[in-house]
Amino acid sequence: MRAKRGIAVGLAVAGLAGAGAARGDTDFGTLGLGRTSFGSFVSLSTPSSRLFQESDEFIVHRTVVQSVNGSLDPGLIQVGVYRSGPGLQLDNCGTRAGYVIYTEVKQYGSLAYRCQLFQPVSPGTILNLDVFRFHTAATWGIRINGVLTGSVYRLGFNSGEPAVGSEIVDHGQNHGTHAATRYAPAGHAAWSFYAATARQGRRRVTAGPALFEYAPSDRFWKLPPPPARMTFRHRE
Amino acid sequence: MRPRNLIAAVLVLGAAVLVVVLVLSRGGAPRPTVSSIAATVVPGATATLMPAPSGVPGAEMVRIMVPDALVHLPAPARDSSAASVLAAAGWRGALIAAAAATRMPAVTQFAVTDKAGAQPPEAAFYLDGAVRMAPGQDPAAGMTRLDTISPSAARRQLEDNLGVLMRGLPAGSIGRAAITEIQVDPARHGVALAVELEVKDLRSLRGHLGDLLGGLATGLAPGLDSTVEGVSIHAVDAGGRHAGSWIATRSQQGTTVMDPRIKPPPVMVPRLHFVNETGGPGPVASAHA
Repeated sequence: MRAKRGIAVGLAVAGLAGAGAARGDTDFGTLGLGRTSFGSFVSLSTPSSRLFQESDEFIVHRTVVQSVNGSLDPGLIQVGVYRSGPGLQLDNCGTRAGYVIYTEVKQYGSLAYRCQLFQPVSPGTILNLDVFRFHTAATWGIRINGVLTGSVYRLGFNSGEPAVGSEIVDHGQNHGTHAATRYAPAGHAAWSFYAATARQGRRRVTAGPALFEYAPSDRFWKLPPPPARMTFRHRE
Repeated sequence: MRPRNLIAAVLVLGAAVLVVVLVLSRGGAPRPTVSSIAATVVPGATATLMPAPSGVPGAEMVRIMVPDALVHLPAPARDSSAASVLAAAGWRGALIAAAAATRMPAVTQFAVTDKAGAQPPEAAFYLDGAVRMAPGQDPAAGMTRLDTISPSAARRQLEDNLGVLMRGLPAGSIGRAAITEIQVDPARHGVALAVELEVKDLRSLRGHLGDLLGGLATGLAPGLDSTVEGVSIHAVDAGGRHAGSWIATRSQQGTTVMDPRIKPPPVMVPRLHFVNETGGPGPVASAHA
């Protein structure tokens, strides 16, 4: 019985991974899901030549995972492409008129945000940015162009085993002084794919299995109810 | 010994002496090691190099062992006082690793531990970090002003920023302020500055958190136009609430600690008029994503 269940889950994961890995978007690159021997990941492969950013909207692309346990101190781990205007910076990492790779982490239950900027992004290059969930319970990491940054973060979940069921939820606040965040239900991970913050009127962006809608009237990313439930299981 | 052999021995000895004299006259002090760099930033610290866990061929991690008092927590890790202790230790680690990375192209990461090589539970978030992705990259590329001002000019900038803050806040908001200058890389005149503030009530300064954490760093850090290796700003109020910002310029990282009871705004905007005396970074609003 257990073996059959494992096979079923494995097939479901394989199907989702296959579907996700092939998703492409002409504006924002390719979003994907994948697995390795040491963990699973969500990824963003983005052509930097298509980056667009208005002044003081300081995240261009990102791959993010966020957790919450009914706590006031949810976790956050993300990697992406950063650029800011002269008037706003990310976590005291400084402003950048050019595009750079960045990471930002807030460990579950922590009181601190931590950001790091890495090398500049050259136009025309393809970036591969992954957020990893390792097999070890509740541990996460970041991979940039295939290289792990070396740090392992604990985002934490009630059960101690993250993301048995994962849902796409909104996590948006990349518009200057505006902020809005919704979190995944307790015990769930939020896989949130972000795309450019272009102000080109009302537009809809298909990003991975989620549909984001940007409405200039309230300047938030809005997310309709998750169109599909994503399930990740790992066999050690 | 034959005279010919004696002459040869004297010549060899003379050449050896000459080499030593030349080395000493050209180089002066011996080349710094990771341990000597660590001890410069944190007295009593030692450091070693080991393969980096990132798996990049040739990449090395600096393991920095600091005095226990710098990483042993006064409270559970979720307390803002403990978070501030760890953030400060991680900041020093980033300063050390970045200074080492300028001389050692293989250095990509760092980890700070106590003297026994251990970290408190959940402390890796603060104590581990990176300075670059791959060996050989220049993390400070484009930072043309870094270390170009004198330590005294940097300190004067911070003192003047502090004056603006103290005059701009309600009377009695700040009880005590102390500035510490940290030698990071003496050969390059690289310094970092730390300011410790005792505040009456951080909750009442909610509208001035941008002045506290951003304004105080005016002319110094962060960003490509930074002038110093790092800035640490740490405030604690009478209620035991902590807020702080630790910026390591060369390794391009920042850590912000905020006691949740302070309830900061999503974007912390400087409101007072800080004067940029160095041509470094201006006061900039800060937000987390």
